[in-house]
Amino acid sequence: MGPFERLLHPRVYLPFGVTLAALVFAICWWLPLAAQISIVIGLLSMLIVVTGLTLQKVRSRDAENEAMATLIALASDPEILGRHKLIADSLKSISQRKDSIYRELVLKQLSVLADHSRRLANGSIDYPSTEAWRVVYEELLRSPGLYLYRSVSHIESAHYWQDGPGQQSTTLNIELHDAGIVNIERTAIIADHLWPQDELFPVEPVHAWLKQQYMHGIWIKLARESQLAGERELVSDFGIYGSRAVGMQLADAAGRTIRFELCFDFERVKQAEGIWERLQVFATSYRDLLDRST
Amino acid sequence: MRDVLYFDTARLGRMSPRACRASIDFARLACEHGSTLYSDDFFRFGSASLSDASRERYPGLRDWQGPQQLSRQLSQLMGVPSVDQILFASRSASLMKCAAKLLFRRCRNVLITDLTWPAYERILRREERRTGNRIHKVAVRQQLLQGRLAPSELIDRLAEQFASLHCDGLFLPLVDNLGLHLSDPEIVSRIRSQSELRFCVIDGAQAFRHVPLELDRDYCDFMVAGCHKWLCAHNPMGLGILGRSSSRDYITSTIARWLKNGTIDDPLMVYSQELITGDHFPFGETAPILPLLTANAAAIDASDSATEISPEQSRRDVIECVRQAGWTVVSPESDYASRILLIRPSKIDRSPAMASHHLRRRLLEHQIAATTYDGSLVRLALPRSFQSGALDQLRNALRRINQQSGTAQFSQKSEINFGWN
Repeated sequence: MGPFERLLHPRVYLPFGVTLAALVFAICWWLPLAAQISIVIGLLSMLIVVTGLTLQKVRSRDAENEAMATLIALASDPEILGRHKLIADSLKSISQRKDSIYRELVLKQLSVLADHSRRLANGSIDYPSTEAWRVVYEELLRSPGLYLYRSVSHIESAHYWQDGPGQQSTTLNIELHDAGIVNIERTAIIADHLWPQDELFPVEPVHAWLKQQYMHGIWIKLARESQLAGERELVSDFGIYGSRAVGMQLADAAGRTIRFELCFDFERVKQAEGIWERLQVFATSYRDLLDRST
Repeated sequence: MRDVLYFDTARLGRMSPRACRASIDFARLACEHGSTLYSDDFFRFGSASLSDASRERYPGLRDWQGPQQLSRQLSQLMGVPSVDQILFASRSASLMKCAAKLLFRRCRNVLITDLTWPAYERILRREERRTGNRIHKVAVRQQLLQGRLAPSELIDRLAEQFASLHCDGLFLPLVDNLGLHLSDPEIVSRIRSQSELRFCVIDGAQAFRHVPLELDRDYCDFMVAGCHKWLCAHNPMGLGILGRSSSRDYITSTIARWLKNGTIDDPLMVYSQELITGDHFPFGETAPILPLLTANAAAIDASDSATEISPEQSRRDVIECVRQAGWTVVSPESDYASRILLIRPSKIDRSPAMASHHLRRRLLEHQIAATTYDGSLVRLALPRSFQSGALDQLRNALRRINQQSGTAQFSQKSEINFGWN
């Protein structure tokens, strides 16, 4: 404890304050009025300075308490605590290096990392330009307690889900639905050039892809993209995993994944469910199309 | 036993004459020849594969022309356009399990009523638990029997419940085990006009050869029926009927997969599909063949049967006879009418002497075969034609039973409890 902290301790400042007040009162009794006012003003100034210093000290203690509270909270989660230690150790090492250019570069990268961490903390995980998300996709679909998977496919290319990974995911969907492990429903938003207005069904291989799933009991609905012209926010590609997570896919013209975002935030899941419900109003079931064809 | 008036077709139909001959001659064939390669040909291609001597020796087997011919016979009786629309199984429960799986593959919320046969409801509940989906059950039976729910009100109620409970699947009987004949095509049509109905299964166990199935109205995706009741084949055999054309490919391809991977383990279903499609499915076991032969024979008898008296007239005659005997008709007078009539004494005897099995025995002592329930309730399944004097016999029997129970304790309580509700 430093001299200033010692001074702020109640055992010290209370008797000191009382003694000082008595002394000032005794002196002031004998002094003229102008001197008394000067002394009061001086004492008030001292009080303001002391209050400011105290507040500053209290604030610095809040930061210490917060760091302590963070460590205590993490202590119950050894896996996260381990990562926290690794990151903290790295930060300590970084702070010991004094090269200014190095610091500038590192600080920029750390800001990116902080932003990424914040996104992770919000429940979102990004998979940019890779099909690696399909591993997690399978893990989620196979997870115990997941009974319903609702998927919206925004099909702008005839090659949508026709490549190797896409076909594997289709097979996985069918396998899980067949086994009764998870109920799958899919709504396809199809670009108009892939589903001309005067055609009952979309072009191949999009139609075959949808029919294959329908034949395995997956409930399929379709909507032309132009039907959603006034509801652009509905045009997206996502999947709702029970009420646990929502995955958003962005594909290129060849139907390959540009970015996939998986979000475990319940509010986002609710938003996706809202979009799903609205989409159902515009979509036609594949069964109705079959009825029309007979 | 010769003069027994048979009113128990709703439980087990009296065997048709051809079915009886087929049954006897098949037993003789099995006894005298066992099962040989010739038997396989016989099952697949029919009696044409038998030698002339065999056909002479076993005349009851001449009707069998193979499973395709059986499908044709049944599809004519059912009013189904295609012979590919019928599946066979050794038990209707096997087909009900398929139906439940098909239903819950497509649907998240399935609407049923309390008219559902309990064994079928258990199958649906098992599938509900397995898939994490839901069943919503609407109670209507009491109101239907008490005449407090007209057909149009029933349609409104079910359509409204279907929509408000966000249902997308439906399971209904066409005729329930107490003889309530629902207007399923109208119910389904209304539901379909208001909501998204993904899959509809109809229990036709009490309906086939009893009331028109109306499959030409394209209202259901799948129907489960049987041969041992109103078709009078006597040997139980389940029938699965593929309904709407838009669901047929889904059902046939799914069932073919289930046969291949062993999800379906009904031996007759496996064997009959092997006979029809020529495919070979693993997990085969010895299948009971006799039900195919008796169903075929009974179907021929049904097609050949002479014109019957109008069911409405026959129902009216029996109702009058029952009332003259001092009994009360519990079934609704005209709405939901079928060939099944529920009756009971005007005063309900709750003494042990009138418990279900005692009452059944007492009816049999008076040469009446019928199903009975607790609360002195009797289910009469009206035959297609009456022998002369049959109604007098029924009247006298009911009157005597009424008189014999005169000293027993009576209750005027009108609530109907079927024990399993």
